[in-house]
Amino acid sequence: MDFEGFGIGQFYPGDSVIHRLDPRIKVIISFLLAVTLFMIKNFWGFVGIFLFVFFIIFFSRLSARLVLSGLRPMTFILVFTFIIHLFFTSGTPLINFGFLVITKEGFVNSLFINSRLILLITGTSLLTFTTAPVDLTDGLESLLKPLEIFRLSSHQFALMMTVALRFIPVLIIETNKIMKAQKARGADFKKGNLAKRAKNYLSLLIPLLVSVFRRADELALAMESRCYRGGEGRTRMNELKIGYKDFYAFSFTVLVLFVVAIVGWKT
Amino acid sequence: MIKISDLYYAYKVKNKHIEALKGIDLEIPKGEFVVFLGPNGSGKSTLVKHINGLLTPSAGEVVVDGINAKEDDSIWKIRQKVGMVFQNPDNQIVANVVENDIAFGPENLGLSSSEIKERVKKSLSLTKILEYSKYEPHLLSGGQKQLVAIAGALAMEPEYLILDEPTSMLDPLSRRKILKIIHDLNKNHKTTILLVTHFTDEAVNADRVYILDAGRIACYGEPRETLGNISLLSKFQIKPLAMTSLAASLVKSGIDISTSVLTVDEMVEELCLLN
Ligand SMILES: Nc1ncnc2c1ncn2[C@@H]1O[C@H](COP(=O)(O)OP(=O)(O)OP(=O)(O)O)[C@@H](O)[C@H]1O
Ligand SMILES: [Mg+2]
Repeated sequence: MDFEGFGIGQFYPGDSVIHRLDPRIKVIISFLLAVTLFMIKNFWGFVGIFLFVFFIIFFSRLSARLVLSGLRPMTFILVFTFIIHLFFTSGTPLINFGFLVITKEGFVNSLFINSRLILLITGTSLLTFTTAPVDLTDGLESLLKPLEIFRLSSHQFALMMTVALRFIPVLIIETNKIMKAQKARGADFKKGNLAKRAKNYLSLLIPLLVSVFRRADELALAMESRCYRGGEGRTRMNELKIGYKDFYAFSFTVLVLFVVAIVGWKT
Repeated sequence: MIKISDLYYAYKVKNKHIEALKGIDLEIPKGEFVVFLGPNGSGKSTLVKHINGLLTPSAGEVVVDGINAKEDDSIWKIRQKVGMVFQNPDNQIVANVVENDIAFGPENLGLSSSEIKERVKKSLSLTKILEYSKYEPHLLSGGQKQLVAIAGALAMEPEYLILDEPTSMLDPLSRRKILKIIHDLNKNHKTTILLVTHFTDEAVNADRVYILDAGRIACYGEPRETLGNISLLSKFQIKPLAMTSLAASLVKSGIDISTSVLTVDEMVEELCLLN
């Protein structure tokens, strides 16, 4: 077994309108989409959001299959919530399996909840699919600037995200290396009882931690050597600029989501 | 010019003092290519870390172009003047895209966006990695990553570039490539180079070689005076050049040639002179 990377920050480069939108606009659109999803309560509301998400997928020129593949890791949760809601909602009985009863309300409920989850995951994953991590970081840094009045540094947050993105692959490679080294010394990460396996994983964790601290030390020196002294007086290579297309995209989203929210409001 | 006088430094570890530097005096004129050799723990890294203000002297002075690193304000001026490249490229690349990493230094200097882009492009072409500008660092080879680290330092447009064992994790081919690039920088861009290394052959074309031992400068001089002196090198556990060892063996077996031969060409010349 190799320790594999999780698909965080998965990005599919492209040159579509959606790819070229300002990352801040995309973050705001994703946020508004999520909020609207939790407001709607009827069938037509979900149809509206579905069309909206489909519209974005179409203009991002990503294949629908690729976007849907983002749901795969969630299969278990989706099936689980579906079943729970299907069998454990009281109301008018629809089908009767002896002690298990599917109600009409349960059926509708589980459909709605799953639609909500699926649309939420695909809708927000479009953000990372179409935005390079660097741009996303820059966008979040800029959006979180107002938090500085609470003495929270958006620059530090963005730098943390950058360094994390930079070092996750490095540490995954390193974990695999240590794992192989421990295996060569007879450690087994699959067999044995829980205590034994935990001990084996500990033998993985300790060298990894030592290495992380050493890396952090050296990285700090390297950053200081390059005149890093916090966010003050720092400029950026890529300045974010809101253009016409960002303005149109934003207005369009607000309009669509507003209509969808009104239509989907009634139960 | 870098001027270091009577420099002492001790690391403090749990009430204990580890004396790493015990009185270093040296002067490095602008434009030189200087190599530091010496056994493990002799204080090479500790010494070079003083030159861009990563460490402050326990005693003594470090002055770069008339600026003393001791004063708080001047440290940023010095760090801009003196670029630093470390051994492990993985631990000095900050950003997750090559060009953004190279921009990190200039961004810290508060330059304008267009100036930063220009510098990034220039550094990428100086290190010959233009085609990797959009790559994620973890997809590059060790040698390419080290070039990214060098480009990151060059983007600050330093007058002095310190490299602390930059090639010790690389294969021979990448090692030669990096050495060629720093020699080019020295010749064509007048960048003063300070190279710390364990590879004696990297010192052959230097202007000056310093040999450190136990926190002191054991000796220094041109490559021929230092690298060509086998008994001196063996005293400090430095591996002599292949040709120098060969010359020494030849002399031992009664062939009368100079013992301070450094390169194959020189060896050929010496041997031809025999008849
Ligand atoms: N961070 C530290 N804390 C405590 N002692 C240190 C530290 N770094 C170095 N030393 C000690 O200072 C001395 C000089 O170390 P330094 O790293 O400068 O040597 P070096 O010549 O660069 O060696 P190498 O060839 O192994 O890189 C050594 O005795 C070392 O143990
Ligand atoms: Mg060292």
